[in-house]
Parts: sequence; structure tokens; C-alpha cells
Amino acid sequence: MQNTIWYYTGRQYGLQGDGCVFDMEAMLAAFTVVFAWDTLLFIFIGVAIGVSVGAIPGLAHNLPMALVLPMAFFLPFHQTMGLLVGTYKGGTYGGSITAISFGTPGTPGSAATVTDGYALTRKGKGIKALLMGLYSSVTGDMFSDLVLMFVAVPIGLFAPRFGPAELTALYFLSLSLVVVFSTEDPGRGILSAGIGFFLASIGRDIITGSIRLTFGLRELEAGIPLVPLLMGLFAMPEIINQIHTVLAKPELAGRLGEKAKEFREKVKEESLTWREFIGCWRGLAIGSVLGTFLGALPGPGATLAAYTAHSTTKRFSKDQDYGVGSLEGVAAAEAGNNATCGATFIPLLTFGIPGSSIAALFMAALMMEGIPLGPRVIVDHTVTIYTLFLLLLLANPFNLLVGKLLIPVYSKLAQMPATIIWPTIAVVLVLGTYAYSTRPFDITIAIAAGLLGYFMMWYRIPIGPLILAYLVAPLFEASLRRGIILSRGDWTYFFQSSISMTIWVITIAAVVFFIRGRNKPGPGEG
Amino acid sequence: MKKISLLLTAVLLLSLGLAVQPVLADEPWADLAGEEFTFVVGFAAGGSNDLGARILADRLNEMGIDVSVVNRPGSVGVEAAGWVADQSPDSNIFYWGVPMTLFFEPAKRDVGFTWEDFEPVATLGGATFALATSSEAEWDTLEEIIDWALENPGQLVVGGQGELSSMHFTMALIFDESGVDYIYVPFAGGADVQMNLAGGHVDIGHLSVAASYPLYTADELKLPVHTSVFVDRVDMIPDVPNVAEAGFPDARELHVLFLWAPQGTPQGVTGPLSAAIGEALTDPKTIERLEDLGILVSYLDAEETRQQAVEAHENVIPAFVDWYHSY
Repeated sequence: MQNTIWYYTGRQYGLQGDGCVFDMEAMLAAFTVVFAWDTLLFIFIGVAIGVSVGAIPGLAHNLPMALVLPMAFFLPFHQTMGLLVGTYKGGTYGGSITAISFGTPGTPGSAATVTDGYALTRKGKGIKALLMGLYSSVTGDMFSDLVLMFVAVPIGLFAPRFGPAELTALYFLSLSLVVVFSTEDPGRGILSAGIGFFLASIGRDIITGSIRLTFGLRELEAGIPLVPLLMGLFAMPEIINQIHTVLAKPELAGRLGEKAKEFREKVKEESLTWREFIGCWRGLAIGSVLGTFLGALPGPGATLAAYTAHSTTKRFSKDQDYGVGSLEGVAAAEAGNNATCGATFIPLLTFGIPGSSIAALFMAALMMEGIPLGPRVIVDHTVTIYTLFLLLLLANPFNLLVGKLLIPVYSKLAQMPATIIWPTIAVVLVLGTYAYSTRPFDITIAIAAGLLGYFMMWYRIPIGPLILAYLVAPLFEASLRRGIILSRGDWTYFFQSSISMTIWVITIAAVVFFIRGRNKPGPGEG
Repeated sequence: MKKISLLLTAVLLLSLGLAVQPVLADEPWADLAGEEFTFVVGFAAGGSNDLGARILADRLNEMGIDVSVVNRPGSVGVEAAGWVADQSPDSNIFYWGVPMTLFFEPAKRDVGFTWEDFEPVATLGGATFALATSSEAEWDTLEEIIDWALENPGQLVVGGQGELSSMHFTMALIFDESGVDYIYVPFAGGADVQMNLAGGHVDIGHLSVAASYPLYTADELKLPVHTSVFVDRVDMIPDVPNVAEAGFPDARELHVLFLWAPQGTPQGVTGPLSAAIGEALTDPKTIERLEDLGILVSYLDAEETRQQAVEAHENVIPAFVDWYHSY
């Protein structure tokens, strides 16, 4: 390796000079652009599209965003951006609606919400949970946007220091969270994580590209995709369960949640109180901070952020019901996934590095506008970037508005008879999973995952460790192997930098801390 | 003003949605009107591969040819190519992809198809790749890098994209051929290489000019060479020499985007479609949109696309296969 490690200081092109100075004139210009009725309308349309598509199981928001993108060529910049930002934020939130109402995550990012959210719905506290999901999404998102606006540069300059060694340590820390899920029943937790590891290793080898465990099936070369896996694991067992109930014990197959009451009265009764919302401050804080941090790194994404936040909060929450119907659980997971929204722009605006597929879409939209992303973008295109910041902030109240409008609709849907609602979900699930990447094989995966999920439900094996292991294993493997290649097999490489040493110490401390907390109530998943 | 822009937007949306603009009767692609074509992209929506297809499809739609883009991501595009290869010749389903999927993957192993299972339609052009290094590095040219690496064996860390991939092969053609003892670290894509270059975890990065351009213009990166197979000098980076000038003509890379049809697709379809694509790629707005994505338009018709494949299989693939098996 030549010299010592170098990294951008930003000095040369004023990131720490004029780039960080607040430019009032530019902000006013951005204000006039953003607070025009057409911009607001486009944000609203975007959020509405995002929430609606996000709430369709399987169909994530990447697809509508890719479809919106070509409009950048004939719509003015602020309108396209309003549409894209709205779709992104609405989509990230929208997944939680079906996760809470039907135990079926609309997007992968909301899978972690199912455990507590759906448990609340079954206890008749669906509206509380939905409102909590909405408010915590907006809170996490707002936090992340503010971090982007005010501390993007320091965080952005820090992010590239996470090389193979540091990432290996970080992903090992994430993996250690499996311990949290497994504290009550280590055997079942480890079994679940083992299945996750196995599923993650199917397909193309991350480094060499050779094919592993596909049994000659070309469809498996791409590995087990996340969306059909999650749809199967979460939704199918519940669908089978409900069908079983309808067939075997029709008298029990009533309506989801509380039996029909006058709806207005229900809203009054069940609405989330301010005290309840603030009572979940631990979940909100942990979700917002972890979501923002993981969102700023390339790789982890909303799903891992939500899981990490949800399992970390478990250790700190005072809620006895955590994991079996806790508002704090919903708060942690939802703040966690939406907090990745603003943060995903951090590496993009500081280095022009798209850390996620969503960031790549935004990069394309900005480049079509003739704005080259890179370290100078905040200095050279201040008005545009301020416009983007304002759009990101403004999308939050719109998310709140659209969410508020849709929550009554969904909680009404949840009161429909089981014989109508579950077959409908099954059909929508299959359609959504197919539409996500138009692969018929994905349906097979969803159904197989559904049978696996049913089996796991039957034997009370938690799903959490499986998903965590499935998400982290490839990231961990890639960085570990890159590190070994880079150091030519010298294992001390992983302990050389101060960042990686810090993370290893935190990992050991966390494992000890979590194991000592074994007496915490609730199985966490299942 | 705002109202007018909104009205215009509505009109445009409507016209795009209907996509029924008249086709000029004397154009060679007039017969394609009324038929539906599908371009299957082997990568997820939103990448440059996908957006390239969508931009072209937009222009073709404007010309009255009904094209839709479908994504079938998986296994670096192999899944999409395999699926298209199995379609009937009159299905109007086409494979949109890159040489890595169509030439290099089948050369490595049995993927169920080869390029000869397809009929060429057209080549759109491609991205230019380059070697990038920190502006603080003590070297400026490829020659200096190699000299430094020869003096400091085992010290040079090169960050590339994929192991045993066509891009890895390019690095081998430069550094192995020079007898350098270096470390090659495979990353998942350009963004990953860029991040590790920024963090100083690698000395040399192999990535597209589009990806490295922002940091290059900010004087944070130096580009010792680019690897374009089409041009000696790239307009965006006029001072950067071609890798051939640095003494490695074989390391020029074939990074193109092209369209292929299932074998047996009638010439009556591929010919006019190819001509239409050629026409679409003369539209200044389309060219500009593609350039914004870092894609340099360099149209080849069906026969030239076939010739390009034949040449690649005569000149590059055998050496690649030897290297792959000896690795």
C-alpha cells in the first residue's frame, strides 16, 4: 500500500470553508421554488403514489421511481424532484400500513414492524399502531433530513474510512444482534440464523462469481431475492393460518382486531395519545440514530436498519410487551427504516457515490438536470441542493397528511370478514411479488418461503434471526473476503485501524450486555 | 407561467401515454407501427444499463414504434439473456445487454446459451472506463505506477469490479503482463470502488469515467489512462491518454450496450428496427440524455454488431478463457 491511508479532507475545494457557510440568498431562492403550488402538488402526488404502492405487498417503491424518472426530461427540476422525493418517502412509510394491519410487510423495510405492529392489531389496537408507525416514520425521517442538512459533510467525510476491515467489524456487530433474538431460546434462535445463513449463500459467489448451491437451476443463480422471501415468510403463514381457522373453526374467524364498532367512536377511543408517543422516546431515538448511520453507509439499507433498531431497542425498552405487541417496537422499526431516507443522500452529496439503488436514481435525475454530483456540488449548485433539502423536509408533513387520510381506510379494510380479506391479500401478494421483477420463479420462492414460515411458526422458531443473518451474511462475507485478499491473509489487518478496534470492543461489550439481559420478557419474534 | 407549464406537462403526458404519433410512410421502419416490442434488461431498474434502454425506448416511442422495457435482473444479466434466447423468433422480445453477459459469461461456463443463439440488432454505444488514483499519489502515468509497483512488490492495491470478470481480465492484461506483484481486490460495482478509493483502501480504482468525473474535476483524482476501444481521446477528459498509448492495446475494453433478438427472428423485423435505432441515435436530445449518464453514442447496425462479436471471439475471448482457466 502506498504511503499512508489518504482520504478527502475537503479542504481544497472549500467544503470546510464557503461550502459549510449557510447561504441565505440561496435558501430564499430555494424557498420560492419549493413553496409554489405546483411543487407542493407534485410532492403530494409523489407521496400518494409512494404510500399506495408501498402498501401493496411485494411491490417496492423502486419501480414507480424508475418510471417517474424519465419525466425529468420534460418536467421542471423541482416538480420531478418533488415527485421522486415524495414517492421515495411515501413508499418507505407505506410498507408499514399493511405490515401493521395484516402482518404482511408492504416493503422489505417494514418487515421488522410486523412483530409488534400486527400483534397490536390483533389486540384491537390497530389504529394506535398505525398512527405510531406514521408518527415514528416521520420523526425518524425528519431527524435524518436534518442530519443531512447540517452534518452531511463531517459524516460524508467519515464514511469512506469504512473499508473492508471496518465494515467486517461493523457487520459482525450487526450479526451479534442474533444473540438478542435468541436469549430466551438459544437453540431455536441459532437454528433460525442458520437457515438465514444457508439461504444467503445460495447463488453467485460474491467475490469469484462462481455458482453455489443452485442444483443447476439457472433461476437460483441470482440467489434468493429479498422481496419474495419476506413476503412468503411473513404473509403466507398468516394466510394459511386464517384459512385453517375459517375451515376448522368458522365461529372464531371473525374480523381482524376489534369487532365492528362505530368507526368515529373507535378513532376517538384508540387514537394515539401524546403521552404514549413520547413514552416511546427510546425506540424513536435509537431508530432515528441507527437508521441515519446505517443509511449513510453503502450496503445495509432500510431493512437492516429497521431490524437493527428494533432488536437494539429491545434491550433498552421498559415495555413488558416488547416483541409481542409494543408501540415502542413499532416506533423503533419505523423510525429506523425511514431514517435511512435522508441519510442515503449523504455519500451522494459529499462524494457523488450512490450508496443504494434509490440514491442511484436520484443521481441520474440530478445528472439529467446537468448537475454533476461530487464534493463540489454543495458549493457550485447551492440553490439546487437547498431545494432538494427543502423538498426532503416538506415531504414529511405530506407523508403525515396522506398517512392520516389512508389510516382510516386501511383500518376499515382490516375489519372486513376474514373470508374476503385473506384471499384478497394472497392474490395481491402474488401479483405484487411478480410485478417487482417480473420473474415467475419469484412466486415459487414466495410459496416455498411461506411453507418454511409456516413450519417455523408451528415450531415457534423466531423469524428475526433468519432475516438478520440473511441480510448481513453476504455483506459480512464480502467485506471479510476482500479484507483477506487485501491483506494477503494477514488477520491482524482487521484490528489495525482505530475504527475497527472501537467496533470490535463495542461488539464484545454488546454481546456481554445482551446476554446479561436474558431475563427480558417476550420471545421477540414469532 | 406555472399554469402553462402544468398544461404543457399534461399534454406531454397524454401524448406519451398514447404514443400514437404518425410514422412517416417512406421510412424503413414504417412497417413496425402497430407491433409491440419488448426490450428485456438484465439489471434492476435505475442503473445506467436500464436507463440507456429506457431513453432509447422513449425516442423510439416518439418515432411511432411501440417499445416497452422490462427488467429481469439476476446473475449479471444471464437470467434475462437465457430467457430471451428461449423465446420464439416472432415474439418481438429482445435482449438488451452488455458483452460481459453475452460473450464472457458463456465463455466461462455453460449458461445455457451463447451469443450465436441470438440475432444482432444494433449497438448503441457505451461507457468509457478508466484507471483512477488519488491526486496525492506520487505517480501521474501508468508507466510510473508500474515502475513504482515493480520497485515495491506486493504493495500496489488495485480495486476492480468482480473477480474473474472481463474487467478483472483488463487489469490482468495491464499488471500481470508487466510482471507486477500487486493485490487485486474485487468490489461489487463502481460506487464501491469509488468509496474505497476515497477512503484510501485501494491505490488504483477501475471505474467508469462518469463515476470518477466529479472527483476528477475537483482535483481529488488523477486518471492515468482510459480504456476506450472507440476513441483515442475522450471529450470529457481530453488530457487522459488511451491505454493503448501507454503500451497496452489489448487492454482496451468493449463496454457497449447492445440489442439482440432470439435466433431466427426475421430480417424484416431486425433490419427496420436497427435502422430505427440508428435514426433515434441521431436525435441531439437523446444523445445528450445518454451522455448525461456517461454513455457515449456510437451506433453500429446489425452487421457491424455481429462483426464486433466475431472480432471479440477471435481476439479477446480465447485469451480470456486461457486466463480464466489458469487463474
